[in-house]
Amino acid sequence: MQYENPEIPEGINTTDEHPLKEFVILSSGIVLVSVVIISLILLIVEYSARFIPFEYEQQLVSTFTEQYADTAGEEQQYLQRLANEIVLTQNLPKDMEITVHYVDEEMVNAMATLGGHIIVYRGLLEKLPSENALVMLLAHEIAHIKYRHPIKSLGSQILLQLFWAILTNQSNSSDIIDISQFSSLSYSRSNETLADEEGLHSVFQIYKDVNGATDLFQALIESRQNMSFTIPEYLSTHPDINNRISHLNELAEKNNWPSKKEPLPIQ
Amino acid sequence: MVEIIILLILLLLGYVFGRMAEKRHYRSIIQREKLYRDVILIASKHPPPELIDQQSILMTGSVVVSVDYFKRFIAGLRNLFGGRVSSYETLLDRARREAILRLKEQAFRKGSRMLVNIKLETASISKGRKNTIGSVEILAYATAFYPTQIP
Repeated sequence: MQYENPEIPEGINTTDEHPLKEFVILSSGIVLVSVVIISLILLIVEYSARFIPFEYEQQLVSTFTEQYADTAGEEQQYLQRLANEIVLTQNLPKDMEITVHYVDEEMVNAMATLGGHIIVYRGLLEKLPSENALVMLLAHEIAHIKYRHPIKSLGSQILLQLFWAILTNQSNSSDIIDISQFSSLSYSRSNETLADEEGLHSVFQIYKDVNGATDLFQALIESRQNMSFTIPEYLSTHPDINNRISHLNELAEKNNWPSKKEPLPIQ
Repeated sequence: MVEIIILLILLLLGYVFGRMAEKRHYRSIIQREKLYRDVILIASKHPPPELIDQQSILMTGSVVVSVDYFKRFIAGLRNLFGGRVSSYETLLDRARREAILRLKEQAFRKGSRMLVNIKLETASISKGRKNTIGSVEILAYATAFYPTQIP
C-alpha cells in the first residue's frame, strides 16, 4: 500500500478576508444598533417627561435656587409682575408656578430652568429697548416651562451621560446625575420655535400689537460679546436668529396681529 | 475617555503585532511542512503490515497559543452577530499545524518516517478566568514507527 501526505492548498480552514474589513463591518453594526436603541429610549424619555408631576421638579432644584432668593429688589418685582401677567395669557396648568430671578451681573443671558424658575441677567435687561421685547423674552421662557422643556432636556441629558458612563465603564454614579448643572439645559430647535411662537402670542394678548417683540433678537445680535438668549452657546448651536425673526413676522402676518403701536419703555 | 484611548491603543498593538506574528508564523509553517513532507501521517488505528517488524514509540507535540487583543475584540463582536469567527480560525489552524510539525520533528530525529493513529486534542486554558486568558493548547500525538537498530 502506498501512503502519502500531499500538500494541502492554503485557505481551506481560514479566509483571506482582511481582518480590518471585518472589524469595520462589525463595529459599524454595533454603532448603528446602539444609536437606534439610544434614540428610541431618548424619544420615550422625552415623551414621558410630561407625566412627571411639576411638584417633583420643584423639589429637585429647591436647594439650588435658594442662591437667587435674596435679590428681591425693584427689578425682581417688576419682572415677576410681568411674568404673572404673561402666565394668564398662556393657560398654564394650575400647579405650575413661575418664579423670576434677577441676577445683577454683566452677562447677556436669560434662561428657563427646572421648577418654573426663570433667571434674567442685568446685562440682557439693559440691552432690551422696550417692555414689549422684555415681555417677549419672559413669555418665551415661560413657554419653555409650560411645555416642560427643562425636565425633558434634563431627562435626555441624564440618559446620554448614563450611556457615556456605560461606554467608558465609569462606576461613579454621582457624576452621572448632577442636578447642579440644571441651569445649562439646552433645548432643541423645534422647542425654541415653539417657545417663540407662544411668546409672540402672549405679546399680542397683552398689547394687542406685536411691534417691538423681535427687538429682543436684534438686541441679542447687537450684543456681540455674548449673543446668547437661553444658553450661552445658543447662537453657536443655532445660528439662525434671522430665520427666527422672519418666522415670527410670518406668524404675525398669518394671524393678522398688528404691528403699529409704539412699544412701551421699560419701567 | 481615557478608557477608550487605552482600548484603541490595545487594539492597534494587537492588530500590528498579531498580524506580524501571524504572517511570520505561516511562512515558517509552510516552509517546515515542505521539509518534513517525508514523514507520513496516517490516521488509521492499524499500522500498515510493512511496519510490523519496526519498533514503535508514542510521540507528542504540543502548542500553546494566545489570541491577541484585536482578534479577541473581533470575536467578541462576532458573538453578538453570529457567523464565522475567522479571527480564531487562523489562530487554531496555525496551532494545529504547529503541533503536528513538532510531532513530526521529534519523530524525524528518532529516525521515524511514519506516524500512525495521529490524534489531536484541544484544551482551552481560560478556565474560570474567561476574559483575562485567551489561550488554547493543542496536543498532537501518534505512534511513531522506526526501523530496528541492528546491533
